[in-house]
Amino acid sequence: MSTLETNLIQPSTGTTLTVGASGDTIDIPSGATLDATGATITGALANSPSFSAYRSGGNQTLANNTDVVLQFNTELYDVGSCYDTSTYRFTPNVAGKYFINSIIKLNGGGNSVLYDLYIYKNTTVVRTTRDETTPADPFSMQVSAIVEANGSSDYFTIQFYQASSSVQLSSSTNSAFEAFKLIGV
Amino acid sequence: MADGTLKVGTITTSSGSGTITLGQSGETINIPSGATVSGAGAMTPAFEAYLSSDQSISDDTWTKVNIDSEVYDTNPSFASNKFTPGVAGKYFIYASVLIETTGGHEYNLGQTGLYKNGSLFRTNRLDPESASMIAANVPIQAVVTANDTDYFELYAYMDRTSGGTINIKTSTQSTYFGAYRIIGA
Repeated sequence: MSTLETNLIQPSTGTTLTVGASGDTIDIPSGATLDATGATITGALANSPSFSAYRSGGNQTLANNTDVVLQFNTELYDVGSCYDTSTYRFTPNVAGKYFINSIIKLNGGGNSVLYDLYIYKNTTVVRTTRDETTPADPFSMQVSAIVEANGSSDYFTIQFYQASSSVQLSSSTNSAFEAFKLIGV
Repeated sequence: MADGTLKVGTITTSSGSGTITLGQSGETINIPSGATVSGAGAMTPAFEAYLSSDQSISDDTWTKVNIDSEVYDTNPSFASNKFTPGVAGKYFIYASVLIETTGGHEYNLGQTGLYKNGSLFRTNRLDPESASMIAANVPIQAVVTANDTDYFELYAYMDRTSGGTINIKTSTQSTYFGAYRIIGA
């Protein structure tokens, strides 16, 4: 294995310097300091695909006794264009592990029933947060997970279940669905 | 200088220590998608695990949560209910505990605690005005600093209005504990 000893590497033309190729491992030894201040990082060293979306344009009515896909219909950003504001699915196009978070504001409350907030991977629940507290109006719920995606067909939605209640998803940036890729995990 | 490809296995400083600079302000450093980043450029150690079966706890007592089933564990850094990163740095830790009273609306106070080296580091509490709750998740998040021996554990606490069983629930991974390293922090 050859070693290049230098202090500065720059692109010979243009403004993009590519390090490695798909399938390679770029190792920055533990203990080294990585200073990327002011630089633009793309590819495997970026926390992307990533997105954040929220509910706007009116509250979403939520049916009882069934899992309902929450309709986060407005994007704050979407790096990689992997979130669909019509299907409300996040379908990352790069394989890897992703941190997913959702926080929702619910209008209604005052009922002593069960509320569940889910992260779905494809058609299966992978994470649940429960509230069975007779919450006040309004109230919030939050759920997080790190999930594995195959980078092609896997998709994620946020879904909600309520028994015998009539809470609605609030039209607000307080009702959000967001995710980003973890680097090197 | 003509555009070109340099093939090399290792890049070090010419003097054996100091700084290697890639590019300059305004340029893009691209590590192609599909490449793997390891070492200081990766958000590792990282793990996520969950409670796989219900756990009974005592009233008014901080109790360690038996997080016993791993989703993944990169280094590994999670064992015996402890997250011990082993690599100095800052970590984002997230968790949530579903605490339930059995047989009645007697959930007076629920708390989740993040312990660092056996001492309570951070808590989050759910304290309703009236004891009308049955069950609820209590989430907690923190950015923590760790050296190579620091460890972190997840605890739960409940005050029940009368005697009886208190359970930490496992329903679809609703009690979970995870972390990843923050790069460059």
